[in-house]
Amino acid sequence: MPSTDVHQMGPVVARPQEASQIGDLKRLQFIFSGTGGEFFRIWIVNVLLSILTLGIYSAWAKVRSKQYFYRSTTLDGASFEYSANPVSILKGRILVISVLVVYQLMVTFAPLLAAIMGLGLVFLFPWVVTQVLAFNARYSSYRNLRFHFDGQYGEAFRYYILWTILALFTLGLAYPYAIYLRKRFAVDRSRYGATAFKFDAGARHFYVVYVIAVLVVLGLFFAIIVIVGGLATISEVFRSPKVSPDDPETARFLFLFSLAVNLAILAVLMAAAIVVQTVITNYVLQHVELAGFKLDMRMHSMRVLWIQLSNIVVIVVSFGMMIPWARVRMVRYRLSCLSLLASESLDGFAASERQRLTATGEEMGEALDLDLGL
Amino acid sequence: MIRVSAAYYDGRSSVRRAVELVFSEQGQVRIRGEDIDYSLEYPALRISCRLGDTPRYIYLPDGARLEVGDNDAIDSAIEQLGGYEGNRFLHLLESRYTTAFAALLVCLGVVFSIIEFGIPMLARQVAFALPPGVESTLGREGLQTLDRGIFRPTTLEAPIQSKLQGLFRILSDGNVEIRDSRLELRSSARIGPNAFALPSGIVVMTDELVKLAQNDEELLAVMAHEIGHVHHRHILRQILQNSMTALLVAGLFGDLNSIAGLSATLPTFLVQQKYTRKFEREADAFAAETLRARGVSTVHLANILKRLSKSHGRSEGSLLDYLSSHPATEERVESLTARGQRP
Repeated sequence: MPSTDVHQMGPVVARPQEASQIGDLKRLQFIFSGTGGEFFRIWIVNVLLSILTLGIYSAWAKVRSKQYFYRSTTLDGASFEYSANPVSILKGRILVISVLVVYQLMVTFAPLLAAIMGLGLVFLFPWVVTQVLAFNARYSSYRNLRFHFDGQYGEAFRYYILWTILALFTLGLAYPYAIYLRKRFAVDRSRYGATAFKFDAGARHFYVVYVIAVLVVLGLFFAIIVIVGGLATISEVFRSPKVSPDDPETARFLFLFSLAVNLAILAVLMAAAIVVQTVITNYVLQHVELAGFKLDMRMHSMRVLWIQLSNIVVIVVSFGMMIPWARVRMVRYRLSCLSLLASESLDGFAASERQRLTATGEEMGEALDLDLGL
Repeated sequence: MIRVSAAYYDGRSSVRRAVELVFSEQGQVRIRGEDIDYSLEYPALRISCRLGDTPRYIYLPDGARLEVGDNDAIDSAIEQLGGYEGNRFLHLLESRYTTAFAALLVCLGVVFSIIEFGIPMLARQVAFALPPGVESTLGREGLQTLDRGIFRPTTLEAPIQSKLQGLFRILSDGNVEIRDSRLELRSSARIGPNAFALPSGIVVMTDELVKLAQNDEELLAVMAHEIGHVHHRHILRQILQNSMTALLVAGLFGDLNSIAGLSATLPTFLVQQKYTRKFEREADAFAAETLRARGVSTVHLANILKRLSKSHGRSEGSLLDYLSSHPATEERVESLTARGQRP
């Protein structure tokens, strides 16, 4: 690879915080420059046109807002591009909705056929996973080189179906390993141009994360039980022998009380899911390697938890009007924690065979060019 | 003549070349850099749509791509040389807060009319067009679920039970539409005095409610109210309306793949409460009419409503009332009393 200075060219002048030196590695920071106000205007026009076209425009809207996030993201002065054709997305949506409608009709009128179709959908799921990953990779590019994903059905079937069944039979013991395999699948089968990504982590850390998570959740459940028990011993309603659960007043109290306990359990589970996801994402993105370049992701899980929870409150209170602000806020935080450790300039990557063969890369004539991820 | 600096990526490697892009008035475009220098006609370029202040891409016929930071320069080149009208229109809408605000108002207006008129109308059409089989399945399964959960068998004595069935028949007889309707008696400490209508015309009444009533007219009034729900297919319509609202909001705001995105559907709860209150008023009106036709005063419905509300300890006219599924009892009682006084 030619080693010219990383920052000497380009229309976007590198800001000082964009890069820092660590030994002979250069840390290149991902920078997100989108703003809530700008995205709000794009989003509300998207919503308006989607309404006026009875939902058809929503495919174009999806591409446009995705483009906003991609193009607002720069690494080393170059932005990311998303170039999917909205028509493919529209086709994918129509397909998914028709399948769901047919399935619903079958559930009502032909339950046996519905069961057979349900089983078929299970076998279809790994294929959908590979399609979605491939679609998103194919239409993402950086410095005019496309990403690629060529994971095959067989592998996806093992990781998404067989390992799930195995996890069920081992009471979850195999689950962290299944997650590890899926992440490895997603990284190892991806390429930037002709260069393959490598996932250089083991499964051990996944077990550590899940074991700690399970212990913490159990601890919190125990705390809830202790609190409930404590309340039960001091509260009049629980102690007094003359009130029975058949008394409507007591029954209502017990109902509200169990509702509160259920909400607390739900909150614990949701927070745990967010923290686990953050920690796993950090770990995965610290172990992605691309021809000597390494990604580095360092999110603080408490910060992510705060952003997610306060986003929920803000969205509910604003009746959805603050969705654009909330999305920008989350993405900005994530990308502010992501960087690339580079030993040389990013000039040395080559395009894939496929992209070189087709001039614009647009008319690649994929067998089924659908985005099935709604 | 418009000059703008750009980064040139040839599409075969990730090498970046700094170039200068020159648009001439005659429609010639020249790209010049360290080891690049060529000209082409303006129409051969494809310029990406302006999107906020994000970088612009210019796609060349050979698969190369230019990345330009200076949006205004590209816009003035397009203004001079033409094309891309549709894209410019989108940016015009997106670039000002005034148009965004107007878009917001139109969206709110459309969503309001869909929720206020569109969904109720559609749900009514669908509810009345559904084959009876679907409704009876829903009703049967609904009652089974409730029986497993909050209901216990009735403890009323047989004579009282048959008296209640007799009262129910007084209301349903001669009314062709609700002939399939039937009364089910259950006891439930959990919910106390209450009555429900389930799909396919099942009316459930709790022992606690029967005990709360001071005379048969009051029981008739409650039954007439529930039969009102059956007559208007309220339960089915409610299920349909609630799922349609959730679908509408989900479709509008999209991005439901995140927890935060999903929370946007929470306020639909308010809409659902509003629909329910409307149904309660309709059922009251039906009850008033049915009772009058049988020579029973609507005062009895008002009376038992008052007593029910007292037994449930609901505070009238409080803020919580806005969230409650039934209209304020006071308001309903008033409207029923007014009906009763009409000649």
